[in-house]
Amino acid sequence: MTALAWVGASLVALGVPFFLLGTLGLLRFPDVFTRLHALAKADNVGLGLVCFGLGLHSGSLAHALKLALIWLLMVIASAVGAGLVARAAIARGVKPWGV
Amino acid sequence: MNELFIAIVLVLLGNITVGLWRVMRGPTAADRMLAAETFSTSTVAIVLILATVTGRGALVDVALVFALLAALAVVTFVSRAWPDIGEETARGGGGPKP
Amino acid sequence: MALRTLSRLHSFLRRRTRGVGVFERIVAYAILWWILTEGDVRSLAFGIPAIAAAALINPFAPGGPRAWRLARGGPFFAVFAWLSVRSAVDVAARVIRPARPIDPAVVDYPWRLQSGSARQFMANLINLMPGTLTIDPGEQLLVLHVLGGKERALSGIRRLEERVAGLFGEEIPAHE
Repeated sequence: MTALAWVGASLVALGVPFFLLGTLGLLRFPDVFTRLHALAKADNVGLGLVCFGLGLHSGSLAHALKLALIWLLMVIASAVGAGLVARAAIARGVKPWGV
Repeated sequence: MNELFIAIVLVLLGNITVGLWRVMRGPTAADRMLAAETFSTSTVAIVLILATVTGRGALVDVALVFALLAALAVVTFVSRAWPDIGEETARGGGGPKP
Repeated sequence: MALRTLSRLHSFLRRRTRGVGVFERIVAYAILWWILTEGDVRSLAFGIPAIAAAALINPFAPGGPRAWRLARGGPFFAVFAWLSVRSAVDVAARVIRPARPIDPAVVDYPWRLQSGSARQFMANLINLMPGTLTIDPGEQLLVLHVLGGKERALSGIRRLEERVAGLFGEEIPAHE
């Protein structure tokens, strides 16, 4: 087992808390907008760490780049998706909490 | 190393299960959609880790397709599946501000 | 019928094959193919025709989005990665504290960016930055949802807008 593989595995493990805290935000935050904040930010960094870690772990450049591509697609999907949901929520009369 | 990866997969699966609570509670359709969106992110992570553990490269392509579908799912939801304007007004809040 | 379809296809292709060079597209799609197949040489039997066919068509309509300044892409990505991690840690800290320190506000921000593609890019980028979320990327005003610490979030948005302007090669007025 090489050192690179261990660094990769630790990065994957480091991504897990972000997933957990994203879900905790989904449960604890009071309205759809604050929940969007929690998800769009925490989950992407969690997935980024998992992809980066697995890429290092594999030790292959092409594989690492493919994982980076998947991460990029998810980031674009969730950034655009968060904006669309927020806009649609306002248009449908959902009032932001605490404003 | 594989034990660590399997443990991580189990934690992420547990994370999805906890998130189901938000799908049940709502209160708006968007809240349910958000929970479903976290599932797709976690699923991509789980599939990628399993690809490494099992050594099946094809699973990476499965994750790629999931990532592409995630974008479509939100767009479809916002443009088609969400109930009409005005319907959520009564249910949007999350209780009074403390 | 078939003839009309063919002539439409022909005029579509003629319009779309102008603009961004075929050579750049071939290089870009070849790199993409290499990544997707993880460097499998045998797949080139399908790959070369696929790359050639895809490169015939320019995905950007003529007069569409201006090209990014590639040289600024690298530093921009580094800043983006750092701010993403900071924003995830920020939101995680707010989630985990028992007091749940959030003080949401809805803020109007007057655009300084001019071009549509730069605005679109920025509106989506904001969703990944610390404590900010785009509600409505309007014509004059960008309506934001801020999770807490309004002033700090706004000054972050100003700096972000300047960086996006640099990336798209746009001049924007300084903040008063």
